[in-house]
Amino acid sequence: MQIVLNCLSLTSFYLCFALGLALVFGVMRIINFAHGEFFMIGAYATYLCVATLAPQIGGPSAWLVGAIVAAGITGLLGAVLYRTVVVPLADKPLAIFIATLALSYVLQTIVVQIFGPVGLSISPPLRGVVSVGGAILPASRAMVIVAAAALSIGLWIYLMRTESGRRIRAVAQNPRGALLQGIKTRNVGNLTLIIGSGIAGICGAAMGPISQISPYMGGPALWKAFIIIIVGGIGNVWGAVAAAAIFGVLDTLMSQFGGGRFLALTSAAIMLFVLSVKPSGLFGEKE
Amino acid sequence: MMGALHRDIATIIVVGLALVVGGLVGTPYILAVLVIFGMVSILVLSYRTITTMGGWSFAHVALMGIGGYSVAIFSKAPFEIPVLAAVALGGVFAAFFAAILSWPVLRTRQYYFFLSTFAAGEALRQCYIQIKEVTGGTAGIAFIARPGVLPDPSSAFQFLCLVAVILVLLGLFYAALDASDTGKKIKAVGEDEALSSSLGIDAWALRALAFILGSFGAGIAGGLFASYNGIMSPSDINAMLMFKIVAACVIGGTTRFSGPLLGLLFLTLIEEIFRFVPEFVPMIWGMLVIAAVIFSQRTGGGFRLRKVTNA
Repeated sequence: MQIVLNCLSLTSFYLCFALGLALVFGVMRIINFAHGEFFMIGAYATYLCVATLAPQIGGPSAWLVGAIVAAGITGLLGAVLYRTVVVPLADKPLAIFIATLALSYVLQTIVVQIFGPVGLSISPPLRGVVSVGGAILPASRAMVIVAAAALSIGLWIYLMRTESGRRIRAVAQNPRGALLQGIKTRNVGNLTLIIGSGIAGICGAAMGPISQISPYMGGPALWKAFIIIIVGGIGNVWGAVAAAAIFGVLDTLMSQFGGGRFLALTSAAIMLFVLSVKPSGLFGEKE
Repeated sequence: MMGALHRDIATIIVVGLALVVGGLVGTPYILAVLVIFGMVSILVLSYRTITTMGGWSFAHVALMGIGGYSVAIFSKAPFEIPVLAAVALGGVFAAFFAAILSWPVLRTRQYYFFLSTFAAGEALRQCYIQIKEVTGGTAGIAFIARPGVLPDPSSAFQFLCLVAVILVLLGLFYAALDASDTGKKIKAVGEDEALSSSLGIDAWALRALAFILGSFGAGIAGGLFASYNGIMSPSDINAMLMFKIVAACVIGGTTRFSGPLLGLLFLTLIEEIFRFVPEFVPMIWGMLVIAAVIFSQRTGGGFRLRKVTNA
């Protein structure tokens, strides 16, 4: 049972992180390398909110404010990114990839200058443990599971049931067709990047209290997310869910049984194997 | 009017000579900068060869590590083969590893290609850290010798000359490849793979060839780095270096050999100008690269990527 809970907790994190990336790619066919730095900035925003507000309004509400602020800041960054990089470089995916890679260094440097290169920790908003069927889970880890579930279900309802969600799906399926139907694809692109980046910020807020936060925390998370979306099929949100679950379980089991050293190697081997067998990923359609 | 091949050859020889002359007249500090510049030049030139096939790899620096560790391991007991031979061996190993890697990663295009090479490169770096028995883990392998062919192995200037010679030789090889029929076919595949295939060109083999030959240069550069620094550790395989190589190619454009080298020169100058605030260098680089990418794409210069069809 403990292992199941650990698997669930890791899967939630992978999912949370890969979801925004997969959404942005699925709709606009671009990869935002600064996604990891958005995640990092979300964590720092939460850190600031918790540090300043917690004595007045208590840990949990300070964290909630932090999460909202984090989503706001990263969403704004997404909108700026859209205006300054994505629009001028429309139809040039590699150029966008490199520009966002460059952006990630800019953001990293800024955060190092403000907060210093040393890691910080956020005091957990929820203390105590949750026990399920004899197994225990720290409450803040349980919170990540809840946050990831809420985020995925919320995103699903939004995409499937609302007018603007339908527009996003239409653009993802066929940009030209959507344009002919009178959908302002530019607005949809902007919206998608804002949502995707906002998710990264919330993910940072959720993960911040569990792990140490540092200006360099985005890199390893992004690397794992790349593997997840490649294995799942780039841009396929459900593929990302499945791949996040696969790696969540596998990585937990490997660390449990002493194979932690070879985690990166195994993940990469799986990715390369999937690519050799099915280059478009497990659930990806052929482009 | 000089032909493209002649221009590339001229570029390489000018860079080689400039390195040696700069090393003769410069201070020890400039000498050190030039040695690094020469080694990174080998990296960008070999990287350019990979990009001609239409894919931008992000595993180049990780493959460079194979060359570095080859020199670190084989120049020491129990192998004790000459350093220069170990450097060549490192190039061969890097090419061999690229050949293995090409099976899965070359099935991918565009986004998938740079993401999968990025992930593969990062995994390779993790191997350097985790397989401690071979690579020495995070501490790496120290006390790597300089090449014994140099009369005075401790002289940075002699090492610079060696780098310049290797740069020119490799550069001429890549220039010859570029101008050959094979090179032209590789570029045709890079421009339009479907069309090339329909004309009976074996796109797969040519893409793999470009990837393998380009990675050979990465291995050579890695070997030189290890020998020059005297130590090889996973921290040498950093993302910043990979970014520097890609950025040099993006800023300068990859059509001719002069492009990436000028891009690298530009980035190195920025790095040196802001030497007194090293912590801001990544940010300044980043902003300049964003500006350069947007500018070069708007004006149609710089590098080009096949347009994605709106399907």
